[in-house]
Amino acid sequence: MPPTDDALRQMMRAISQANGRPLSEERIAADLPTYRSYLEAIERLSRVELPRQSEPLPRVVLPGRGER
Amino acid sequence: MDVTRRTFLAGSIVGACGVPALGHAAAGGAVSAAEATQTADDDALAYLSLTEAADRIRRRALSPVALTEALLRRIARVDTRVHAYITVTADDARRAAREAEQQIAAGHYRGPLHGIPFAVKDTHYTRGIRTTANTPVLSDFVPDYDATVVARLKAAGGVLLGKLSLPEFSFGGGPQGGGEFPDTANPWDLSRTPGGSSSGSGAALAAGLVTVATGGDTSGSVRNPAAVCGVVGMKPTYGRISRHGIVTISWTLDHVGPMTRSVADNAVLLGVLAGPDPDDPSASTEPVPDYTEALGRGVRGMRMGVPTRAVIADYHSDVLRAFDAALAVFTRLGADVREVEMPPTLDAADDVQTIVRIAEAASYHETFLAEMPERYGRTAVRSDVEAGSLITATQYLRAQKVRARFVREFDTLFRTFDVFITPGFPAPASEPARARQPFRRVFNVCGFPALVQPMGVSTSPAGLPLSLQIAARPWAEADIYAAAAAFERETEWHLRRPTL
Repeated sequence: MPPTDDALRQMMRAISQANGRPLSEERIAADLPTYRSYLEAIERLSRVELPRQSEPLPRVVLPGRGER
Repeated sequence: MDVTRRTFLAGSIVGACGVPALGHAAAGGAVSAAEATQTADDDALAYLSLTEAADRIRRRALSPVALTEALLRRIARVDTRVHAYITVTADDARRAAREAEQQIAAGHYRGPLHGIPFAVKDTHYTRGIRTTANTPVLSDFVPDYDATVVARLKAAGGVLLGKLSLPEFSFGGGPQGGGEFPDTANPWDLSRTPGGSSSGSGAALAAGLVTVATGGDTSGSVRNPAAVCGVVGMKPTYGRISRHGIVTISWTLDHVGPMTRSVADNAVLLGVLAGPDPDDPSASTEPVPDYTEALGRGVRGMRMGVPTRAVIADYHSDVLRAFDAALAVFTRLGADVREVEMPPTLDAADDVQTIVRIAEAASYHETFLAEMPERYGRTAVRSDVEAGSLITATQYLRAQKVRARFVREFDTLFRTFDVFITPGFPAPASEPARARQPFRRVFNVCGFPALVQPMGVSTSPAGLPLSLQIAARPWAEADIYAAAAAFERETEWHLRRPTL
């Protein structure tokens, strides 16, 4: 069940507040369709099966001796 | 047409007056025989390949100044309609061309880029020259250093002609208005998209406004404009070319790539651009081969994977027709062409790219959003990155975990053939392209190299370029060039020119 617009607006207020840069109601209205599309992509990704120990890209790669 | 030093001297006297006013030649006045001859000579020089121009310059049969002046005149005459350039660095170009000529005359020939005019996407930092990314946010930004790719091109003796257009901050598959500068048009049909985001690079090459160019590719942005403008664009392996001094979209998806009118030119240009860079930790120390050695190798016995027809069945019928013809060419040349099944996570790759790209972009834009949000253009960029800043760390890392699985699966698949071939774009420019799998962003997600080249022309609508894509395993750009050069030798699609 996809979240309602009201539920999304609440999430956007809360997350932007937590980020330290609260979005205005005008910006929330402008950004809502895009944010919804991102959440739909994330929902599809959550259906991809991954092993418990799977690790993300990129991995930490340190320079070798003598390299900057 | 060879241009002697005498011609060069005459040209530089004319050129010393500065770049002609925009629209000068299109003003509708009577054109004298001398002007017509000049225009024809300019056009011949403007479409010279890098390899041919370099050969003439090396033999001192062509002056770098004459070549540069011819391109500057053509830019003044044509670019009022194409809008490929944001900035033309005419004075600096003349100075660099004169220096190149003097060095070559003194016996200090540096190699195939010496005296060759080039232009870069306006995301590449250029010391003392504004770098706008076509956004009001950066409209007054003048870097104090060159991007590594710009520095390498200059060190090779290249002549910087200017900075090429793009959609605001490289967002979007083509110009959509609302940036700081006019939208670029497709030289094959000025009413159609030139693709994006390296729109100016593709259009400038097709319109004969530069000899070679560079672009950036995060979602297909070298390959899209190359495909619909009918030129050659390579997105090399991630880490093959330094990203130092390039306006960022996404650190783990961004690539810089060479764009040219022929495969051989592309191989030469990649050889100049590739290599490690202490200023970019992601730039690889993997040895850089001489890519031109692969050009004559041919494809006999080469294993070529192609997607099953069901995966590309929704592509434009002209594209599928040209693709079948291209595969027939490879088969005739002795390649082993076979369909392969795609891995299970292929359909998730575009979602991975969406989330990784915008989460990293939101981080890059954090300061702009905090300090100057009102300066963004009238595009979707501000909304995109504001919404991207709401993606949580665990959501971003979920995408990166799926990405790791996809890379493993693609690596396994790509070990079963030498190159993987698809259409370069699902439809002609500005035609509906609702392809379920366009095979663009997947190569940014996995970082494998992929090149597009002309493979035909559309019939409905008529006359638009169609494109072939050749991909391979990491660091196998030479295999791609071998296949692409073999195809180019058998066809003449890369020799077509738009009427402007």
